[in-house]
Amino acid sequence: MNSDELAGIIEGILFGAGDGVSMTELCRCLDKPVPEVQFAMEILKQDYQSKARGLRLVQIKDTYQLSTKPDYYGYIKEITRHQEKAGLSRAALETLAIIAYRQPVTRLAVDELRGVSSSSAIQRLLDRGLICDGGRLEAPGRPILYKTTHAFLKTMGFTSLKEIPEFEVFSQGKQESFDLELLKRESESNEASSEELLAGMLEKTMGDARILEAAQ
Amino acid sequence: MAYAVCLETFEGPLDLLINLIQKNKIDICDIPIATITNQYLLQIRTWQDMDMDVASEFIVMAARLLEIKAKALLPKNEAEQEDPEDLQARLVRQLVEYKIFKEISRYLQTREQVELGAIYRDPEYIPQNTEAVPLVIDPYSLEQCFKRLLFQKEEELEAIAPPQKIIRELFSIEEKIAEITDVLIQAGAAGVSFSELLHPDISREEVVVTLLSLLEMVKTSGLRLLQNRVFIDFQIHREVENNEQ
Repeated sequence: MNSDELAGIIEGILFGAGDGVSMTELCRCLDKPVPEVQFAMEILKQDYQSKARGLRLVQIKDTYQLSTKPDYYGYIKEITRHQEKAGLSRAALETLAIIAYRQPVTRLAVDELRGVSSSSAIQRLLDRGLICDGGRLEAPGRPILYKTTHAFLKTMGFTSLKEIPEFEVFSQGKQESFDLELLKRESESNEASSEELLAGMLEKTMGDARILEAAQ
Repeated sequence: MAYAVCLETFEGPLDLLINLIQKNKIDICDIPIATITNQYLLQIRTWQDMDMDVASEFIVMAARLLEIKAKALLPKNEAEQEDPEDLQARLVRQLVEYKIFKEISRYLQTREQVELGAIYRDPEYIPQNTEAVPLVIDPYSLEQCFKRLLFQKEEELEAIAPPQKIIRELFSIEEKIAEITDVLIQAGAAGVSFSELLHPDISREEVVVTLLSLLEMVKTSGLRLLQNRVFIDFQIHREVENNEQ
């Protein structure tokens, strides 16, 4: 089985599962070591980056999932007739921003930062599964400490918490027109890094092949 | 005819302050406190004139602004020289921090809007083939399985055991009071001792009800209890009223 075929099988697994599938599970099903599966996954990812593909590979921590490309949503909704999906309210977004950067954090700390009560916003975020109970603060009343969830990463399109821009990016006042720039830069750097990775992996396999040849 | 009323909404007092600061095109770290306070109060007054409920947080902030303004106007006292700056510095710190989080929330919103356009495939619900799960048999899992079976058996035995009888409350305080009253009337002036009220094969429940009834009677219908020392039997007398004689 070559890597292209492996990539095809992975695509089949991800489509069939619908839900996210972890790297460990993939390796078990395919009975292949992690680097080999990762290499095939990289091929798949590259393939999906082409404009000719309507799907993309979503990675959250170590799970992989397929989704349609957001860029094509305008066309897709014509056929699916989905109701317009509602985004989060301003209060919920503010609360979520604070929890994302200060986690684990108590409701009181969020209230103080926003200058208003955040209990209903927190409840909505809990209902949507974007935050969860992350333990208790050892202080009078043992208040709940909130932290963000897997669903938060998925909703915001982050691979992991490490991908969230540094707090300093916002505090240094460079945030004007920052959004688009960052998104652009991000996708460029992503492309670059995955290309590099692919090149590196190719080199390694070639090297292995040469060693094998030499051995024979 | 329908009116469309468009109001600026603010997430809180900090949000309103930042809005005022931006409108006045002033530096957040160098707020002319008098001007901002006036504009802030004016905004709250406008809301109140429109019969809008102004959240208490907005009023608290108004008080804070007035305090800063007042302290800045007063001649400086030696002891609290740093105070007005401190209050203002604290507010500025809070504003700066809140502004950053507002920016972050806007950033998150743009990302959310992009991601809202992604559609995920729902897993198709095909019944799972449980037999296909590979069986692992080792002594330990066999033991576990055996224990589970034994436990299950026990549970089944428990299930077929006759249900426990739930005994209905047989004595009510009202009935007991009537009963005691009868006994007391018969006994007359001599009264009765507590032990005389308890027949030989009395249940614990009835003893409790008897005692409760006596206490109730002491409270409501003038009963006198006499005890020579603690933890011994006691005499019960009726408080004889004049009209009964």
